[in-house]
Amino acid sequence: MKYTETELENTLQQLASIECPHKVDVVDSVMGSLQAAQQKEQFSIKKERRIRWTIGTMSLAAASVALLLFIGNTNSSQAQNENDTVAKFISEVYNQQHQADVVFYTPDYIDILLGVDESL
Amino acid sequence: MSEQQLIEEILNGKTYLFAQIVEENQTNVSGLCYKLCGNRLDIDEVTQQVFVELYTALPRFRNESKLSTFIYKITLNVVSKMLSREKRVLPRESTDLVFERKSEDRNIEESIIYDEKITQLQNAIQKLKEDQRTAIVLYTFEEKSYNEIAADMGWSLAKVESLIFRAKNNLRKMLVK
Repeated sequence: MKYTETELENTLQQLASIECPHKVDVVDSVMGSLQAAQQKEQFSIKKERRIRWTIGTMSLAAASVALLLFIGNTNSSQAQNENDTVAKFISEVYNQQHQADVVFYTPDYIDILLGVDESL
Repeated sequence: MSEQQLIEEILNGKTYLFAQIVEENQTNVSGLCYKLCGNRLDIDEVTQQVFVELYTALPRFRNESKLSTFIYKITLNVVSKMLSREKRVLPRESTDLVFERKSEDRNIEESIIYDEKITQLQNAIQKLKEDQRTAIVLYTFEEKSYNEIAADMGWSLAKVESLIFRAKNNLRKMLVK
């Protein structure tokens, strides 16, 4: 059977008149909880910073290694180029020398060398 | 220091000032918690949880309503959440009453009947929609007028009237003699 309006009002009033039987004092426990929560938050902030620092350092290290490798590679190419240049130079000198030899060993000279006297 | 200044100071890092809010409101909060759940929950624990949640929710508080109303809304949510988590049923032992009564007030049989009636009402209040629950609690337990509820909650007067009317109708439907 449903409550009448008056019965509901009376029950609501009865509920409204109920008082907590003991005095509640939660100031210390609330402030303690907040402090603990803040410490936990600070700890997680520190942890996050530490993780960021590690990631940053590792990235920096990786970047440095990459840079070193790049420079090394460039130097190596440069060295190779320099080597090539030297080789080319030597080659040219050799060729020039060779040409000089060729020039030096002219047919006349060869004749002289062979003892061929054309005037004869 | 005004309520607004106090909240601003707390939000600016002076957490210790929050103790003042707890001290000023803990009796009202624990009283409301007891009205809403009796001994089914540890009132100290619920009250503490209300203030912890209030601290977290404080940045969302806009001075459009009173802080006490904001606290009441949080209390209603916390009690509702904790009751549904606990899922405790009415104590079966006659000596384990939901409400503590003085022995001279009622005999044990009357106490049990009273207890059942009040617990039934509490459960019915918990089943109301949030806005209806807020309206009926503020109206009945806080003895606020329709106009005060409208001002505190930012609702129109017609909405408050409608919410309380529907809340009472729904309670009557849920309660059985």
